Amino acid sequence: MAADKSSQRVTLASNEGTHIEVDRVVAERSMLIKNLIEDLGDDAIESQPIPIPNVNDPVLRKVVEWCEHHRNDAQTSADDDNDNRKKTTDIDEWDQKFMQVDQEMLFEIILAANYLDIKALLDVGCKTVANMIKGKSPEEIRKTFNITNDFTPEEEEQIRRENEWAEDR
Amino acid sequence: MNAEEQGTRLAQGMCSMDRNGTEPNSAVVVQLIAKTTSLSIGRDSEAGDSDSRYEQALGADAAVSESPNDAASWRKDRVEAQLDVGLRTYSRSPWAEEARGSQDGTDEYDTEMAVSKFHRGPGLLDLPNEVLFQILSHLEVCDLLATSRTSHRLRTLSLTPYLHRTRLRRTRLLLQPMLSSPSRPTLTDLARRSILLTHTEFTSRRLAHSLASIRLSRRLAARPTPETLVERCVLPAECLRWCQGKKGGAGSVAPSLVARKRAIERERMKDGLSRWLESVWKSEMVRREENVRMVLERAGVGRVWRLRRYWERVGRGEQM
Repeated sequence: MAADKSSQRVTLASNEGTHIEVDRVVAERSMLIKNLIEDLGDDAIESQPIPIPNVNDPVLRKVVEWCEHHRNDAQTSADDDNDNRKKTTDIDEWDQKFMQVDQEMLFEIILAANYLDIKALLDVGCKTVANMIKGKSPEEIRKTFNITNDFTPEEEEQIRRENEWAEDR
Repeated sequence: MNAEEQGTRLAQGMCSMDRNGTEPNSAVVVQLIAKTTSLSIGRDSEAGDSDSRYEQALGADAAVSESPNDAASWRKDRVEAQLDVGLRTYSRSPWAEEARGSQDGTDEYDTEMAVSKFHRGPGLLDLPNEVLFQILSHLEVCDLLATSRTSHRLRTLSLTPYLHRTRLRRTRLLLQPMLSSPSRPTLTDLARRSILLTHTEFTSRRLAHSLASIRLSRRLAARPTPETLVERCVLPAECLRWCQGKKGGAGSVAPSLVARKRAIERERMKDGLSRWLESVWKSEMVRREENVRMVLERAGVGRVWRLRRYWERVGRGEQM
């Protein structure tokens, strides 16, 4: 069964209906797909593609690319790694290159990783965004991420006064 | 947030899904829903915990803004934020978006709209709160302060006490292994590399320092005076001459400048001599010219004078 499992292929269908065939091990980097395969059994997935309705084709291909590269990584357990997670926001070189995409793609990858429950990819994405925020002023952050300033001038003044203690930078 | 509520919301999500007919394989859908429901329920206790903390944060924020004209918008934000928190548990499920859509009153949920929205591309604020939370958890205090000043939603998220508590807990957990990591140099190593100074080392250094300064001042005091050095022909006399001169020692010359000073003095002497020579020669010339003129006048030398004499003689009728 184990040998069978390693050679098994599954087909993923993006929301545009295109099919991507990947190794089962690769697809099982996603906890969502892994659980789904476990629940449905092997027969069901051989006969029909797995629909991924929230992810479009380019993003799904990108995510599959990441999963292919990280197919042999040790699986982290679901939620308890919160504490011993590395504090540092350093990302390994391949992932850094992988994440060199435009902002929309980056956020779509993050959303897809969140939806497909690929913890490591979500983490890499979050770290990438965190690195984009680091060392920037509020105004620069707003400009980078196209955030509209919804504070009234009075509120801004209030916040400025509250944050005065930290303004010695 | 109990399991029944989740069930109904999921059912709503499922209904809208079926109505739109986006999913051909309904058996798979049902299986997926069952799976995600169990996932959500499993995570329920943790979510409830953070919910209450979240409300604390919101309460704190509401207290911050006291001006009445903001109250309405604040209340709206609060409701929205709480809605988000409520839905946070679902955001791992594919139908979270749709459930949210029906909650907001857009019952006619349109997949076309969803697709077009997807193509425009999501921004930072389109990420669900739990993902934003995870992003913020990678930031340090100064960056969190910056994000808290960008917009209301990010402010609420960045100032959540839960976030800061986990940050502190993580730092506390990280500190111990970092302190005991083998790459950290030992005390003896630091002492050997003179980075760490023990008390005795510090005193011995100070002692050595004061000894050196004493020795130095003694040696300075024992130095021979310039006079003796000039006497011994170590220094040129110029170094001393000005000390004893009328200027009271203000103009003594450093040994390295003596050669230059001598050259300048030579030049000045040369200039003076040539000026003197010039003036002497000029006055001599003037005197000599004067003499020649006087002699010539007395002797009556000149062409006009001879011509006059000739014609005078002719006039007197003398024989040539």
